[in-house]
This record gives sequence, C-alpha cells and structure tokens, in this order.
Amino acid sequence: MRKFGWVGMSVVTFFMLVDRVNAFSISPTRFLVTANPNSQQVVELVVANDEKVEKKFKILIGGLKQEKNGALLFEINSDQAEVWVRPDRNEVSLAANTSAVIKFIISIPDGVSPGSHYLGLAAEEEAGTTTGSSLGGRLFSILTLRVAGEVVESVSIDKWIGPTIIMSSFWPLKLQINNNGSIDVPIESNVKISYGGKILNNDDWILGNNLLTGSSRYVEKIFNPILLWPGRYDVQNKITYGRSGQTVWASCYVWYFPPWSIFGSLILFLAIILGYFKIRHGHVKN
Amino acid sequence: MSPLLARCDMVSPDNTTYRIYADVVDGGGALSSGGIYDLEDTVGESIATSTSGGVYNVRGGYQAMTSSSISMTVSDGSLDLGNLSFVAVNSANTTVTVTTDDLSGYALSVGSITWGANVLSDVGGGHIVVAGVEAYGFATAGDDSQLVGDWAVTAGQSISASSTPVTNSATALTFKATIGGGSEVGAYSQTIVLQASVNLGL
Repeated sequence: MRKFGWVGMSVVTFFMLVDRVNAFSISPTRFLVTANPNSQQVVELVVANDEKVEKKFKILIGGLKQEKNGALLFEINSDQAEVWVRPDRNEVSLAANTSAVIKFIISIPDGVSPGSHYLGLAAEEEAGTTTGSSLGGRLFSILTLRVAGEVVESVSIDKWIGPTIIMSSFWPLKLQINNNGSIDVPIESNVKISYGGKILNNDDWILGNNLLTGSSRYVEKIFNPILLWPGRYDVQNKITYGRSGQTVWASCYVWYFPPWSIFGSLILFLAIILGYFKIRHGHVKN
Repeated sequence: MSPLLARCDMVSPDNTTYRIYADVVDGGGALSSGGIYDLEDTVGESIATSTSGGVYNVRGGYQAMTSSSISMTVSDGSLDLGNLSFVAVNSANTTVTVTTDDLSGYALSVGSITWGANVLSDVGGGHIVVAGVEAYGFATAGDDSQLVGDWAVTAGQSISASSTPVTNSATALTFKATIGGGSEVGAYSQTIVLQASVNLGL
C-alpha cells in the first residue's frame, strides 16, 4: 500500500455514517435471581421504542466484568452462564412509540457450583446504514444470578501502600483489594493512623459498589492526616465485607519527618559539633 | 412451595425499590462466620495483613428486580470527518442523552468498535490530537463527562457517569482525526456501539 510522500498527493477520508439512534429504553434495570441447579426461571425485560419511526433491536446476552474503579463492562462470551440464559427472540421490530416484553429463560444446569454470575440483558439498536459505518446504541439490564448452595465470602488486601519516608503532611495511600470468594460482597473501609499507640485519625473511605467475584478494586487517595511528632506512624486499613460481616486489615508504617524537624536536627547536630570542638579546644589550651 | 409474597414492593436497605414476585423470599439460610488470621511483614512496604473468610448458604427460588428504567438517545447525523490532512485536525460531533430514574445513576461507555479496512493510530490517553501526527480519538463535554483531553476510542472506555438519577443528561462527543507522513492512503471507517446501564448499586 502506498504511503504519503507529500501533502495532497492522495486523499484519506474518514467517515462514520451515523444513523440517528432514536430514543429507546429498557426496564427494569436490574435483576437478582437465585436458582437451584437443574431448575428454570424466567425474567422479563421491556424494550420500548420512544421515537416516531419503526426500529429494529437485537437482543443480546453478555457477561459483565468489573473494572478496578467499579464500572461494568459488557462482554459477549466472557461468562459460562451466558449460555444458561436464552431470550424468547433474538431481535424485535417495534413500531413508533411501542414496546415489547422479552422473556429470558434461565436454565441452570445440573452440577453447577454455587456462586454468583453477572450478566447483561441487552437491547441494541441495529444500524440502519448500508455502508457498514455507524454509531449504535446498546442498553443493558444487570442480571445477578446466584446459584444456590454454600458460598464463600473472601476478600484479600493485595496492596496497601503508603510512603516509606515523607516530609509532607499529604500522604499518598494506595489500596487494592480482590474478591477471591464465590459471591459478590458489599465493602467498607476504615483507615486509622496511630502514633505511639494513640489513634490520631479515624476515617471512613468510600470504596464504591459491591465487589464482584474475581474482581479487584483500586483506590488511591492523598490523605492529609492529623500529625504530631516526627517518627513512625502506623497506618491501618480495615475492610469490612460481605453479608457475614468479615474483616480483613493491613498496616503500613510511615516515617514522618517534617521540614522543621530536619532543620531542627541539623541545628542540634551543628550545636553538638561546635560544642564538642569548643570543649576540646578548651582542653588543649589548658 | 406456597407463595409467601405475590407481586409486592419492598424497600431494601439502600432504598432501592425491588419488586418481588417469586414464591420464595428467603435468601438466607444459616449464617456462619469465622476465619483464619495471618500476619506477615513485607520488606519495603512494611505491610502487615490479616485474612478471614465467611461461608453461608444461598437458597434458590428468589427473584427481585429494580423497577426503574433507562433510556438513551444518540443525536444526529452522519459523522463525517472528511478528507484528513497533515496540517489540520478534522472533527465531528454528536451528543448522547441518557435518562434514568434509578437511584444508583448510570454509566455510559464505548461498548464495541469495528474498524473498516484501514486503521488509524489511537491517541494516547489524555493527550491531544495534533496535526501532522497520525492519531484518532475523541473528547467529551458535559456535566457527567469522565474524560479530560482526547482519548482512544476503545471498548470499555468510560464516557460519562452519574451516581444519581438523571433526566436528559447530555454528553457531547467530538471525534478527531489527523494523519502523518506514514499514513496509509484510503478510506477509514469505524462502527461504534455506545452502551449504557444503571450502576451496579450498593
């Protein structure tokens, strides 16, 4: 393929022919289903075309992944449970200002392990263009599917990092936790900073929404704690999680040396040196 | 099993409204808790940690839903960036509008992309598309916008979000492209699916 040699030699065009994605909506936005292995349940999703022209929508099912900030990603073929859910139709045409109820049949196979799966039940407006270039819209409802049985809540702290030595009173603190269990868990965080055994700071951190199975959550904060003297501070983060109220904690130690303490130490050091030489000089004279 | 509740509404601790219409409402079972505690020191990070774990039973046959809705509109038009050049950044705009009455708010992101025959280089995250250096990306503007600067159009890229219900929350998307000396000659096209949902909730 040719490369550009000079400006204007050839033409590069970029087009995204965009059909207007007319307003559409779905309801409900979230399902929670618990089901036994070898059982079946049905949930219903309403898809509405809110515009004045007929539109066609694809009905899709995808797995949901959670990013480190808690946001959800819809990804087809990412969760084994996607094949357990089947819509009663794969597409639907809706006349202007009409809606349709899409039934999703959830069939849990026999022998499936207990635990949570997270799926998106989606309606995607089909692009009306024939060029293959378009901007489409997709709305999805969140289906939390819990297979019945004994589940484990387990969260680990993978990172709890503060500065090792710092002069500033603004401390960068980084936390990363991971859900190693088989079910999603609500999470809370409490940070305590103590000095010489005395708690000086007690702060609740907001970690966001539930942490899904196999997902990590990363939080980074610049913390401005109440500080006393130079020295070693114990910075503890206690995570409370799950419906069974488990806790996990981690501590890191921060050596805090404010500028005045360094300056003061320097003055003291110089005074000691000067004093030493003065005394020594006096002895020599005598 | 006989119905315990039939199509009634309840309010969960986080004030999200659920409609329950399944015939079993017990999601609990015996709760048990306990754990193993472990301490360790890591040189450098001076970290001490504890671990614990809980086990309980989930019972099947429970179904609940959040009786809220979400809608989405992508405004007009053909996004035609025209003939790309070395000396200018071409751009085109569209606006995405989201409405939801869900208490958790919403999140809008790039769902998927498909390139045509040719592919332009992505702009570095947060950088600016500048003329003469092949790059393609987009910028956003709006009250709920999550981005500063120009960003690559990649699947999963957050666009806008809110943690509260919104009515006609508009986010303007500006797609930008420019070429460099090594750019391939030809037509570039891309299919983008934007996706929105309510947030997971607490």
